[in-house]
Parts: sequence; C-alpha cells; structure tokens
Amino acid sequence: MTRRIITLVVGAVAPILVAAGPALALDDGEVPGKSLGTGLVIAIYVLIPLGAFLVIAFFSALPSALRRPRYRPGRAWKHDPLWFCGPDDPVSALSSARPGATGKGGASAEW
Amino acid sequence: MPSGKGNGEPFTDGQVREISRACTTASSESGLHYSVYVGPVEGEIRDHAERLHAALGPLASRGVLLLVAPGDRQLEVVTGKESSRRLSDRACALAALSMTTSFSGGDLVGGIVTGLRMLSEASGRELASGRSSR
Repeated sequence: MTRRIITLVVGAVAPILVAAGPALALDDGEVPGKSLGTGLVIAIYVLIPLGAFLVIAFFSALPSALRRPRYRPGRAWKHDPLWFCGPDDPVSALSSARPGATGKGGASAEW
Repeated sequence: MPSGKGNGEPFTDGQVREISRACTTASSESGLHYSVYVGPVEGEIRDHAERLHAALGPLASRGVLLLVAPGDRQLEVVTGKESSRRLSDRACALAALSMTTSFSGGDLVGGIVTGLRMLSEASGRELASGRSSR
C-alpha cells in the first residue's frame, strides 16, 4: 500500500519537475553584462541621435538655402533696378531723357 | 545688359540670362528693340516709363520698353514712333494681361519671357499683314 502511494506521488510530481527544469534555469537576459561606461553611454544615447538629427536637418534645409527668395506679390521689392537690353550708360542716358519725348503708345496693367 | 549690383540680386544668373536671351531674340526676330526694366517706379509710372524709353536714344523710335515694378505691382509698356505702328495698343494690352497673370502667381521671369514673346509675335504678324495689304 505504501509503495503504491509513493509510486503514485513520484509518478505525478516527476513529470512536472522535469518539465519545469528549463524554467528554473537562468535566462541570458538575467545575467548582468559588462558596464558600458559613461563615455560609451553618452556616445550612443546622446551623440549619435544628435548627429542623426543634425544630418537630417541639414539636408532638409539645403534646397531652400540654395534657392533665391521667391517673388511674392504684395511684398516690398528691395533690389537694385535691372535693365535688360538698355543703354550702355543708363545714368547719362536718363539724365537727358524726359517723359513724352519718344513714347507714342503702349499699355499699362496692374496685378 | 543688367545694371546695378548689391542689395541681393533678385534673379539667379540663369534667370538673368533667360531674360536677356528672350530680349535679344525678340529684338532680332521682330526688328524692333525690346528693353526690359525691372525696378521701383519713381513718380508716375507712365512718366518714368517714357523717360526710360527716351533714354534708349536712337533706338527709341523702334524701341519697346517694358517697365516691371514688382514692389508697386505695376506694369507699363511704351512703344515709340515706329514700333507703335507695328505694335497696336491692343496687342500691348494683351501681352500685359498675360504678363500680369504670371506676375500675380509669383513668376516674374516667366511673365517677362512670355510677354516678350507675345509682343515679338504680334509685331511680326502686324508687319506681315501690313506687307500683304500693300
């Protein structure tokens, strides 16, 4: 009778203990690794993200930095006058020019 | 020939070349002298434009001057004695309308180039119709 009880208990508990074997072992993540050290921590968590941020910011700002400021209607025009196909010496040519001397027709418009 | 430097060039070198080329092409195709002034208006725009036109000197008679004042949002086209025979005020107004449409969209260079092309074509057409009617 006693032998039967022992066999029954062993038979019931042993498979559970065998199955629980791997669960009792230490996982890889539970073993603390070597310390990184302050320098490496700063490099990985501060310098590399900061560097990535700066590179992305540089490339996103590059196209607009290369482009001329676009003309926007209604904004002030703060540039020197440009005269295409004008007289060789605009200043002296304008000094003697008076309105109505040569103009005969044309058109005007606003936007 | 652009004059004046500094205070931030409004156009890139490529854009300046584009306008210059459009100017000389229009002039050589039509036989008229096209000139484009981009800058602020001093006083009345018509007076200023006529002064600029007169400053073209011996070329003024067959000269067509376009004054574009982006700051004042005004445009003036002036034709001379000979060029007004080739380019009617109506043709000038049509080109001016097309130019201001581009300008209001923020495209200065495109508007100037289109306007020059339209004026050049209009003057060539009127020359051709003038010849055929003779």
